[in-house]
Amino acid sequence: MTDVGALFEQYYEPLVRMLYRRTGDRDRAEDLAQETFARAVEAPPYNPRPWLFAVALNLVREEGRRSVRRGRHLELIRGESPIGTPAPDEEYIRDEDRSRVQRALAELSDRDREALLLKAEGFNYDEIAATLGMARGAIGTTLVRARRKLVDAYREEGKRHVAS
Amino acid sequence: MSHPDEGILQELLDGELPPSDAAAVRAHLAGCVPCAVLLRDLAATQTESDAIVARLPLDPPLVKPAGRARPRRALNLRAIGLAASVLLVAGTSWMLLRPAGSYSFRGSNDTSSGLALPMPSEERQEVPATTPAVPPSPSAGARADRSADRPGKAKQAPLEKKETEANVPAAKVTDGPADKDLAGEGRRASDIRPASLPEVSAPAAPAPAAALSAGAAMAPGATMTTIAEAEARLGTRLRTISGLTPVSVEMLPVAADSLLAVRQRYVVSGVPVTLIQASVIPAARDEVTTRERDAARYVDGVAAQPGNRGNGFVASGESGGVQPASRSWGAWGSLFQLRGALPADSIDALMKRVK
Repeated sequence: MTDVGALFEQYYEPLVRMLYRRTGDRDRAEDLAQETFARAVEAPPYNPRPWLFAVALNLVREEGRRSVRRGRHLELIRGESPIGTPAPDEEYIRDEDRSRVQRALAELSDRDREALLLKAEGFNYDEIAATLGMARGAIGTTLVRARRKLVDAYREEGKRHVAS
Repeated sequence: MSHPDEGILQELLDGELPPSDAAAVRAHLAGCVPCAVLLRDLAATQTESDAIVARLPLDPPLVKPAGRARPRRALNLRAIGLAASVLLVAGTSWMLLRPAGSYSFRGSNDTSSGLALPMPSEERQEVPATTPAVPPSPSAGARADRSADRPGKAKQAPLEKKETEANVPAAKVTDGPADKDLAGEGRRASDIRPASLPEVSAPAAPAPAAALSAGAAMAPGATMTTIAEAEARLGTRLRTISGLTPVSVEMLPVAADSLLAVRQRYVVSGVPVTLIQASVIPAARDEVTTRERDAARYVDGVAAQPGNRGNGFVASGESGGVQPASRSWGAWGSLFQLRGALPADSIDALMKRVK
């Protein structure tokens, strides 16, 4: 029997973090994580971690397709975010760096990025393969490619930033 | 062995190679400089890549149970309530916006009026128990009765032979006086877990008997209450299924300092139906920002769309029974979920009666 409450305790945070890195949007990450757990409640999974993350990543993809319709609504939400005081320098730098990482991550293919982010959450190869529906034998090369790409892209982003 | 490809080297680095393969690769590396160099490069790339990803922590971090959340984060109104977020399911562990600390309410435990109230067993417990269908208070005027609401204590229901889904009647909700449907027909209904069959072979064990006694059948931390008290805590009117009287009203601890959920259990044509309402508690409302209010309205709109209404009715061909249908929606600043082993159109009919 799957105790979804226990799943929540264990996996909510890693799921949000992975989704945040995957989408670049903290709020959206939490939304998606909530939706994922809602589905787990409806249909408790036997193999929870890959299932949860796979559902979450599928939701990201589905949302991407529906984004045109939602775009209008999201505008409304984003437009409202209050900018009271200017961010102190530290925060600015940190935000800039985060954007740089996000931009670098965006250079990877979806699959490669997802494999990388799952690995960052401690998934082993079998779990990554199960979550992404890939052959286990392909995971090693995927990670090599993903890591290389990320490092290169991150360095490039750094150069671009300085140049502009 | 011939030079291992990069994927294999990476597997070695990640500790994913079976021991014999790892030994063979290491043996090769001991004697092959280019491969050893490649391995070193892969390791360096991995270190750098890990460092880059680590520059994206979850910040601000999720609130842990121990600390008190800053109100803005604790509310997360946009996620709440209104579409997918807080999904509360009859009898099962509930989802939290934030894991809640322990939180208890002073509930009232009126003695029952002599009825043996059906308390469907928690889905959390492995073994579903049967729930004898019992007529609630004969008076139809649900509202009028509300103040004398009888959450009551569940009597120890004698455990019957366990029912499988097959024996759940596909009950229909008809419009009109609810009493007729609810007159004790002596039908049995089991509280069914979604999407998976109960273990048919497991006997009704003593543990569920304990679960049926007062209090234990509720989710941990749930407290019996009255409608009046629930409304006082919610700061808003408690919606009910008009025409029906709930057999129990419980408060569920959710996010202790911001969100409150109330669960009402009804029996409709012998079938347990649960209505859950989750609302932001008044003290927290002042902290709501414009952004979150707008987001909440947006989510309301999304939740109202027909495609977003939760699971539909599933008939199990083999057992001839039904699985629970549920509807979740947001309205009046709260989240609702209605769930019961009824056909979808019955659930929809009930939904319309939630006022």
